[in-house]
Amino acid sequence: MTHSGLTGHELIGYLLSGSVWLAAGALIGTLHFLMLQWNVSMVAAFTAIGNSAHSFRADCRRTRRHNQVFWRLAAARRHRWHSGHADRHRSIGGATMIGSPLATKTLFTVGPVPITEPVVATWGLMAALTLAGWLATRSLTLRPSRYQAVIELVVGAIEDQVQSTMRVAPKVYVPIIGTLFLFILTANWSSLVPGVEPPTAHIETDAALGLIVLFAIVYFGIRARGFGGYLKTFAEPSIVMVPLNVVETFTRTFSLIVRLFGNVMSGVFIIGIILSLAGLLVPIPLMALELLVGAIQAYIFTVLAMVFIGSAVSEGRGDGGKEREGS
Amino acid sequence: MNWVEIVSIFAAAMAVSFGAIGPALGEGRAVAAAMDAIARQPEAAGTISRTLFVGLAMIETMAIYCLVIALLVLFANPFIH
Repeated sequence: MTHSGLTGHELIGYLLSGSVWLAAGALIGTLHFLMLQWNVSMVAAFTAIGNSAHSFRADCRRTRRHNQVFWRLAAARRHRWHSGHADRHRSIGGATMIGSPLATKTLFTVGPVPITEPVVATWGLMAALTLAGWLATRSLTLRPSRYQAVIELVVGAIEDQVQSTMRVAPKVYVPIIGTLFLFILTANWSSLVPGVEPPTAHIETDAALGLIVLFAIVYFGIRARGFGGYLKTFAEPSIVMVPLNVVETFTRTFSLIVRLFGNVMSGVFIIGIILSLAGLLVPIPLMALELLVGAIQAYIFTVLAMVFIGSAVSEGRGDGGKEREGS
Repeated sequence: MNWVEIVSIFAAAMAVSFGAIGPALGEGRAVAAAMDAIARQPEAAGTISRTLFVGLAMIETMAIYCLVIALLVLFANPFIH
């Protein structure tokens, strides 16, 4: 039942350093605010461009108003069922965006900083995970209780997964990988709580997670190979590949972000559409499917993070790098 | 109705419909190959199906990208209003 090579002190160490990473994630998570601002201003800028590009829109104002009335009716119908998503009408740069999956809802403001729904959900999840970790490690015994056995099983499974994917000693990487996995899993499954929308269904949260992975790649790469050694990995097969490798570092992070966002958001969106069309019990099979998708996406995100970090740490050790051994 | 809106709706529909074809074919091939492998080596079914699920989700992501583009065109279209 319990993982053999895992003592209580290691468990405490994992959870402590996991919470350190989580705190780092919280710091990066404050990028939510900035990105929200950026998002809004980007939409405003785009709408301004669109406005100047289409001076003929005055001719079509009547038809558009008719169109907006139609969308409002549809949205009102949806909101009757889905009160958790109510009040999604918002005016950004004068554009009425109804039921847009890209908009976030501001709950309250702390000074000049607007606190949005996904931020509150994120911090609630972080508090819940930290509380669970604290409760789990408060009374560790050699003969584990049921709760401790479950926790040890989870930590041991993550450790095995890191070991088998990255092929390095997992001790350093388990905290961040495990924290990422548990956070994304609970975030994806938080839609089970009525009225809570998964924070990963908004691109700001996923962008924060992707940035954490990007920083972790650079951090572990430099830690394992030194600064110059890490920079050298960009010119790995030949010097010609440098721009490609640099671009790849960012595009793979971007695809990581969009993958998680698209999958979770499409689930929420499709359930919303089904709810607006059909009654109360119809979307339940789709919600079950969403649970599966959420688990798989959490797994994929962490596996890809492991692969990226592992390639930064041990790149070239397999076939091409016989001339130099990192660390 | 505005031309931009008409074109946007068609663009969204085409993005989703044509974007679904490739991943559908790819997923079919992946599942067929996995079935073949499991039939040949039933003892490796666990590893194969785990890899299959991850691969399917990666392929499906291509279709999800198209969905994201379609939703962008529908809901965050820079040229409407």
